[in-house]
Amino acid sequence: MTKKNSIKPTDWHSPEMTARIKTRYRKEKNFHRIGVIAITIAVSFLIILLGKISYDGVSGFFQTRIDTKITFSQSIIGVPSTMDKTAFQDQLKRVNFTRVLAASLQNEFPDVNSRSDRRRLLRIYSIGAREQIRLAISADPSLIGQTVILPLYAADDIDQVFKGNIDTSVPEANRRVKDKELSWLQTLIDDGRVYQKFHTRFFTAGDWNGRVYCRCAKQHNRSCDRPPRTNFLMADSPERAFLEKTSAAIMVLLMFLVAMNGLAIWLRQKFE
Amino acid sequence: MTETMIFSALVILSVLGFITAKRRSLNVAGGNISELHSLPRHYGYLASLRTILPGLLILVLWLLLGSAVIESMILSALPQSLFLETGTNAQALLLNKIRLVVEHGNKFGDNPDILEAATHYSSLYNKGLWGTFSLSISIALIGMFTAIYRIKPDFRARSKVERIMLLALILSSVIATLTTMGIIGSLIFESVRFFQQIPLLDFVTGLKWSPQTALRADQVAASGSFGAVPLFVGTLLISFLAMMVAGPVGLFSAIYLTKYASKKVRSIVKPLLEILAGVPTIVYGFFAAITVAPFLRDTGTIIGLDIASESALTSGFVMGIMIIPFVSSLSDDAITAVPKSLDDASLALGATKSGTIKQVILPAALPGITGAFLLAISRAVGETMIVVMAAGMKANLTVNPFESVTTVTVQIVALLTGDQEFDSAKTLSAFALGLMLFITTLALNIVALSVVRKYREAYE
Repeated sequence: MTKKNSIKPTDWHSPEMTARIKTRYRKEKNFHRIGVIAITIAVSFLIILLGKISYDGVSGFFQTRIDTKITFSQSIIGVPSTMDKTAFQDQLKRVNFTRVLAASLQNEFPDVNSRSDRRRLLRIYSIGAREQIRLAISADPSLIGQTVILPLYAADDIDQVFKGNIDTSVPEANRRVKDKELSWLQTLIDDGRVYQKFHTRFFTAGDWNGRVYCRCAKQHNRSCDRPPRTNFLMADSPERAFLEKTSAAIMVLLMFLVAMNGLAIWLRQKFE
Repeated sequence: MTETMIFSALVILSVLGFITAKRRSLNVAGGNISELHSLPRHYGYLASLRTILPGLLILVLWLLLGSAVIESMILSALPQSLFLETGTNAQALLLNKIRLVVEHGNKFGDNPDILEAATHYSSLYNKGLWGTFSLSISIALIGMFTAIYRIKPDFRARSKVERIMLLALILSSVIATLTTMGIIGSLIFESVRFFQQIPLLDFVTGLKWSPQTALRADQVAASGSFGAVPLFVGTLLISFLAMMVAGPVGLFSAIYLTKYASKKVRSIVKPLLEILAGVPTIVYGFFAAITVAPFLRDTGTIIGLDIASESALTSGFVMGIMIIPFVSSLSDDAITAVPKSLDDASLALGATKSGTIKQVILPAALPGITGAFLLAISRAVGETMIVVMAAGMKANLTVNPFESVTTVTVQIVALLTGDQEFDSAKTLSAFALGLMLFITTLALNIVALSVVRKYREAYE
């Protein structure tokens, strides 16, 4: 019994003890906080990753179209009444539809005369625009000799300008889209003939992205069959259209992945 | 008649065997299952296995050896003059010609000998196929009937089925082991060829990596230098940076999710983190090159640091993001696996939650957490795509994270893509790098295991 008296009970209210308890509680709080911070960092990484890619990519699902009056001139395409159906279709494969487009544009912009300007005017349109003209006449040969309005695809750079992704205030020399092209585009916009539409061909035809990619490589004198790797620093000069299309493609991929992940989680929660 | 048809016939037979055997076992027992040694379905399994396995063996033998046997028969039948005409590699060339004629008719080649050989080939092939068919089907039928005939109440079908299953399991594990050994063997074999040209010591201690070998003797840079040190330093640097990000974030996420978070938060955040692991590495590479690299470069310019567009920091950081879920998921498992009694005891003694975690839970979960870190490190060491896109190809001996470095895996990609001679030191060095990487990872694992064994708090 004497022993018990010699040990003093802990005095929880002594200044020493209160200080100790305070430290312990502070440590507890800090530890908790570090955990919250870690989770926040991890989740915000995910949000930044997905957010940035979606931000870049979402406009890639839309494609700028330009309503253009196209004249299916008999002198360039040929006269379908003089040949049978298959011969005409074969003929269409050989016709240079750049000439059809160029002749039609001549009517639209009569004041564009010099050779280089005319070539530049053609560059407003995507390479796919020729294919659109060919498909139109191929589907309906009776259009020959007529003038119809076709919603043609704009070129990648023009597409980017229209979406506001290319800064047109920088000096002309540092810009891929020149002032003349911008003025023509402005005329078309003022006419209300330029608009955006859902890019169905993004899902059905894969070769367009490849062309964008190849152009990057060509600028750096690389052959086309290889993605730019060492000579071309994507971090230094990302091409806007490439960025947009790739991000859009990644979005499709990630949507699929997230859907699969969701399915996995659902299955796990169901059977757990 | 095709191989697929033989296979389908075997499958149908085995299903028939299963049904008949099951029914017969019931008949033999007079409808009373307790009379039987095994369940009726075991008799069925045995019969169907006895049917399909020998038949499949014949089919596989035909697929493996059939065409080789026929080809050697055809070749020996060809006149000797044809071999002399064709010159070197005559056998392979002639065989190719014959195959072309067999597949596409006489569009390719009009040599009468070849045409005759081709017709001979197809008739032999047909005969072989029919032979295989009849042989495998008859063996399958024999197997089926013996299995069905032997069904008696005291016949131990279950033990036999289980023995076959055991053999199948052993076979699978043997295949897995042999594959690993094959990979290591090929690495060692090609590396030995490399070290015949480049001394081992130069490779392990050399400070300059420039794998250029001349195509002609008089070319500039006729001798490359194969010093692997810059590559390994680059790999370790990037992995270290990645772990600096993933280690703390992953571990603390795991602690928070297991010990502090409410059930609802956990059920949302955990799958979110797992999405990070599911994102393809090429997407991370793209993100690193397009977003993170310019961001870091510009931030560096503002605070007066010279950060290259392709820097170790970029790829290390993005790689760190990628491996957060590896660290957090596995640490999560390790922490949850610590017995609840330890937790309760510590709390009952008056320890705070954080004190419990630091003093009791983490030491107990140490082996699992080390395992998680190790897996994350090996993931970082083996990661290729992010580094290709964000850290560059330049072999740079530096530990400065703001400069461009390269890693072992990236160099392996660079060495093996494109047209390469397979006997040049340049190509073979890829295998030597692979072997070195393998040895390094193995050493890392062994060291980590011994560390774990030393400091582990064992409670059981």
